[in-house]
Amino acid sequence: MNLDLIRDIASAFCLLVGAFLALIAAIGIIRFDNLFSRMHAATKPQVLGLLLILMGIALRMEHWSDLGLLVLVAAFQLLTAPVAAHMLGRAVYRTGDKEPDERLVDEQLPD
Amino acid sequence: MSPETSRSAQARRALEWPVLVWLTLVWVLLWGEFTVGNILAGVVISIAIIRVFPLPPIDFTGRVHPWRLAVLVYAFFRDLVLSSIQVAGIVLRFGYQPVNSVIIVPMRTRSDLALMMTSEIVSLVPGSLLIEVSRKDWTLQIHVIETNDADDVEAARQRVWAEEERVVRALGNAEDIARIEQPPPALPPARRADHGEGTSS
Repeated sequence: MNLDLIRDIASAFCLLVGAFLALIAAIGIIRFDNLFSRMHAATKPQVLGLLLILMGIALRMEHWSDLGLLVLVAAFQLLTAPVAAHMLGRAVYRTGDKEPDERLVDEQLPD
Repeated sequence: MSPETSRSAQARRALEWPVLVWLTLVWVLLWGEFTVGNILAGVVISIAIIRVFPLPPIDFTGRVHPWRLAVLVYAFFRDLVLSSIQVAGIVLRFGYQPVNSVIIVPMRTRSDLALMMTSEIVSLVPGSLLIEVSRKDWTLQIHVIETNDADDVEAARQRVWAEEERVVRALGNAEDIARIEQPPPALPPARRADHGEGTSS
């Protein structure tokens, strides 16, 4: 079996699944009716989708020198996505949500 | 180093080294080439950044446990895949809006680094988002997607504690690991605000 072919298939798989997850994240952001559900869509499938796309690119790369840049993109995505979600969630939770989600329990921090 | 240099200043200087190395690495990776010129430019720019934007030092009192760190990384990527599938499943059920929850989870760790890492991981993985960290009470306030009954709420809390345990076992000191082995702390009962069936305001 041709090694290049296996690499191409693996790369195509990563790229397609990654793009699909990014699409799911976009659909989720439009479809959900409140900020918190939207942020869930914007963090989990989006981050995994980006990581898979980066993996797909890495598999097809011709120069290893560009790998560092991909690792950097992945690292900053993992570092910043939770912070962004936290800042948005916290701001909306504190100021009161105009379009609240349905909540089973709503526990408050002790003062 | 002058004798009057305070211990905290020494600690700060010692802790600048990893930051310097990291910033230089970022610079070199951005240029994509390991050349002497790139590395020198990176060092100069890193020193400038550290001088202009000084950050409070993070106390790292623990040790790195390589095997436990591998477990943490593995669990992180496993959870990332599982929670992506979970959220994707909810997204694709058109017309369905999940019932969510806001829960508080008291932490057992008393290390800033472990608290920060747990908060970050919790935001990314097990169907949860961080709303607030109380450093005074060492408690996280977390938003959980799709909780259909009380069991789901408790399961979410257990997942956060499991995440905390993995972080501390990977990077904590002996004291923190001993704390982790205690059962999870009780919830402050007075502040539980159950809204019952499906109302939120």
